[in-house]
Amino acid sequence: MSEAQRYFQEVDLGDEYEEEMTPTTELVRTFLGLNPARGGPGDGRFDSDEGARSIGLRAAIVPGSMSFSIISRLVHDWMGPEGTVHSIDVSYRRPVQQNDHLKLLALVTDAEETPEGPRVKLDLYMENDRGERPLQGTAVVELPQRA
Amino acid sequence: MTSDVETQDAQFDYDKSVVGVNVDLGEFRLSPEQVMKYCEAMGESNPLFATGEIAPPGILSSVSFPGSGLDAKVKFGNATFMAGSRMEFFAPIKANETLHVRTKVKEVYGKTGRSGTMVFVVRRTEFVGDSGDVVAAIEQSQVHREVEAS
Repeated sequence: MSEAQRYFQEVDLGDEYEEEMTPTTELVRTFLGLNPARGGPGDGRFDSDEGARSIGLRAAIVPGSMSFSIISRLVHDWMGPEGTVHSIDVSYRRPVQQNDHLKLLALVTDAEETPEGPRVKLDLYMENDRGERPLQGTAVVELPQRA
Repeated sequence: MTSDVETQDAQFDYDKSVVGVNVDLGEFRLSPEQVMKYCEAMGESNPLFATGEIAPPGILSSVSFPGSGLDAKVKFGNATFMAGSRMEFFAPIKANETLHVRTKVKEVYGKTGRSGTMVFVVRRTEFVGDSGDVVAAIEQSQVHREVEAS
């Protein structure tokens, strides 16, 4: 998905990039299993619908750190192998439910040459099939210049 | 029209003495195998990370450290949720590089909006390379609020 390199000269304001992903229950377990020592909230919100309901949620949810990793992947795929991420800033507007089909969206909102290099600003969204955007954010990325 | 209004009068208690106090959490090192396992799980396909020598920056949100830092001991609500994350990257995250971790409670504040009062705790964690330079920093905001079981 990110084999092709994106260059600064090719970027226009308003450009959109989209991917899809479904964070299944199995994938959430795999993510949590990457680091079993990391403590969770202990209420079962990531493990079962019952645990999630105990804190007022509809169903088991995806950890915020995993949602961050998912949206980071979108940025990495967009920028290509020679891009550099400077920052990613996200707000968790509502819980991401496990097994929800998600559209991941990046929108170019700024592109300028700075003394530090050519920087591109992206708006980031995660959108579910109910039309909700549980995660919104921005990223600042540096892209290479085409010779 | 915005419904969220920042308030100074939200009633909550917390330990003010911990705000701004940096705590060393020790150090850790990512192996190339850990990096590749993370990439496989998350479907990372950027060739930059293919050998496992450079890690996708998001991996820092999935690792644990020897401690968790000082607790602001917020006395408010009955549940906590992640409200936001900001990561800044100043250098590549390399496998086999020792990263020293320090963290602090940056601020605690209350906010009252349509869904009631919420209390936010913002924690800043910095990852310092062997050179002494900060290679990455994470600011995570956690919200404390009152919820009812559904």
